[in-house]
Amino acid sequence: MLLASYLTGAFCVAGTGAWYLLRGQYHAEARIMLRMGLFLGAVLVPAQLFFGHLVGDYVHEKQPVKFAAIEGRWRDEQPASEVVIALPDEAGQTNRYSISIPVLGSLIGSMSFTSKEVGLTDFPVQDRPPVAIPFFTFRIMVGCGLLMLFLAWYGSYLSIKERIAEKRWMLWGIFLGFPLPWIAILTGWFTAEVGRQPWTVYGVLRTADSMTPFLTAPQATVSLVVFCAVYSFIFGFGTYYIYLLLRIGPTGRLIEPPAGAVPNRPMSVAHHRATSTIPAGE
Amino acid sequence: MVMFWIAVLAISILLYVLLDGFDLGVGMLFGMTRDEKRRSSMLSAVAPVWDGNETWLVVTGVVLWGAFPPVYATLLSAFYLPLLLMVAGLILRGVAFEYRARAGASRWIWDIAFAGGSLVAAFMQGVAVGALVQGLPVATGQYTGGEFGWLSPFSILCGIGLCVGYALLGASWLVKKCDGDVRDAAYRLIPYLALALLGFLLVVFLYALSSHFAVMDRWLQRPYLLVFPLVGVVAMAGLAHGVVRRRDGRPFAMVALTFAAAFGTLAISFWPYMIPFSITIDEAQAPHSSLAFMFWGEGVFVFPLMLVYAAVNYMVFRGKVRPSAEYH
Repeated sequence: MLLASYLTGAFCVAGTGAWYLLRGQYHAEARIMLRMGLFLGAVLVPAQLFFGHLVGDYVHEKQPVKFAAIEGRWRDEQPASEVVIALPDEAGQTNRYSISIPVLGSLIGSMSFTSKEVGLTDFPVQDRPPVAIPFFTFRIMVGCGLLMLFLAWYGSYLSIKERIAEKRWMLWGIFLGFPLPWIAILTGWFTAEVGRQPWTVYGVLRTADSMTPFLTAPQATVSLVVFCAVYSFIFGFGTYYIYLLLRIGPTGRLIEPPAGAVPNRPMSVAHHRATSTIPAGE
Repeated sequence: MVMFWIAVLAISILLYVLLDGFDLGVGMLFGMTRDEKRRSSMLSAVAPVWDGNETWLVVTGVVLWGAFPPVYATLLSAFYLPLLLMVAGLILRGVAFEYRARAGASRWIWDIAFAGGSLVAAFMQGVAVGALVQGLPVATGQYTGGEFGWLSPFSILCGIGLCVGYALLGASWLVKKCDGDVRDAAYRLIPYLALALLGFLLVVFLYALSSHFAVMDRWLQRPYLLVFPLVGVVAMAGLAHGVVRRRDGRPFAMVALTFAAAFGTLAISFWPYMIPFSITIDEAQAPHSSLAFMFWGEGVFVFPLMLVYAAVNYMVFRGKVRPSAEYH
C-alpha cells in the first residue's frame, strides 16, 4: 500500500508534467516533473510487482480458494496452465473463450514446472468466493501494473535521451496514465476483499454471521447512499479545485513562505502563492 | 485496569464536548452573520485547533470499541442514523475550511456546509445524549428499539439544547480569541444564549420529572449529586460577572465549567451503568488481556502524547488571533 501510494504520487507528478508539455507551457518545470515522476516510477513499479508476487505466494499458501478463483482454475492441474483471459462460467464450473499458457500456472504458483495446483472444485460450493470479480479485477490490476512499467521505463529512457518532448503519443500516454496506480489499488482491493468471501475472518467468521443483528437493509442502503453522495460531492469539488491549482501552474518564485500559511492547512500555501505572485511568462 | 479505561473514556468525552463544542458552536454562529470580515475572524479563531478537537471523538470511539465492545455495538446500532448524519455533517464542515478559500462563485456552498454541518453534528449529539437519558430499549445485550428508537420529543429537545449550549461555548470562545466587532457581537449574544440554556435545562428537568425517568430516582437517592448543579449555578454567576466586566477570558472558562458539571451529573447519575439502565461497566468490559494489551500502547504512550500535543497546540496559538491574518 505504501509503495502504491508513492506510485500514485509519482504518476500524478509525471502526468501533470506531460500535460504542461502537451499544452506547450512551463517547459523547464514540466521536464523536471516528468523526470522525477518517471524515475521514481521506474524504480517503484518493479518493486511493487515483486511485492505483489510475494503477496501472491502468501495467498497461495494461506488462502488456496482465493488463489484458485484469481487464477480461474476450476480443476486440479499438474502441471497447471495459466489462464491469461477467459469468461469464467460459475454455473458450468468452467471457463469460456479461454486463452491459456501451459505450465506457466505452476511456475507462478509454486516456482516449479511440474507442481500440482489446486482448483476450485476441491472446495465445497458454499466455501468458494464469487469467481468473476476477483478474476477480472486481478487482471485489470496486473494490466495497469504492466502498462505503468512500460510508461515508466520507456519514459525514463526517453527522458534521459532528452527526446520525450518530441514523442507526443508518449506524453499523451503518461498524461492519461495518471489514474493507473489508483485503478490498480482499487481493483487489487476488490480482488483481496471479494476473493476472501464468504469469510470476514478467513476460516473463522463467515460474512453472513458477522452482520450486526439489528442492522436492516434500508438502514444500510441509507448509509451507503449518504456516504456516496457526500464523498462524490466533496471529491468532485476537490478535484475541480486541484485542477484549478494545476492550471495556474508553477508561476512566480517558488520559495517564499507566505505570511498567512496555516500549519494545519497545507493547501493555504498554494492558495497564497497562486493569488499573490505575478504570473511569470514562459 | 478497567477503571483506567473508564477514566480515559471520561477524559476523552469531556475534552471532546468542551473542545469540539466550541468549534461547532462557532460554526453555528458563523451562519448567523453575513459579514465577510467577521466570518473570516471566526474561522481564524478555530482554524488551528478544530481538527485536533475532533480527534477526541475518534479516541472516544476507539476506547469504546476496544475496551467496552458491547457498549460500542449497542450505541452504534441504536444511533445508526443520527451518527451517520453527524459524521456527514463533520465531513462537510471539515472540508469547508479548505474549500471555502478556493471557491469563487461557489463559496456560498461551503458557507452552508460549514454552518449546516456544525448544526447537524451538534444536534445529533444532543439527540443521542437525550435518548440515553431517557433509556434505550435493550434486551439480552442487544438493542431492540428499531431504526427510530432514539427519536422522541425529549431527545429532540436535548438536541436543540445542546446546539444552544455549543453556541454559548462558541460565543465565549470568540470573546476569548477575537477583537473588535466579533467580540462585541459575541458579548451581546452570550446573555441570550445563557438564558436560553437555563430555560432549556429547566424544561428538561420538568419533563424528566413528569415522565418518571429512571434517572430521576438516581438523583433522589444520591443527594450529593446536587453538588454538580450547584457548581453549574456558580459558574453561570461567574459568566454573568465576566460578561458585565468584559473580562475576555472569563466566559469560556465558566461555560466550560458548566459543561463539566453537566457531564459530571450525567456520568455519576448513570454510574455504574454505561448504557442506562441496562449495561454496567462490569458487563461491558473487554477481557482483561485486551485491556492490558491496549494499556501498553494507547494507554501508556499514545494517550499521554495526545494530551501533550493538544496542550502544545493551544500554547502555540494562544492569545487573540491577528485581525490581519489570512486564514481564509
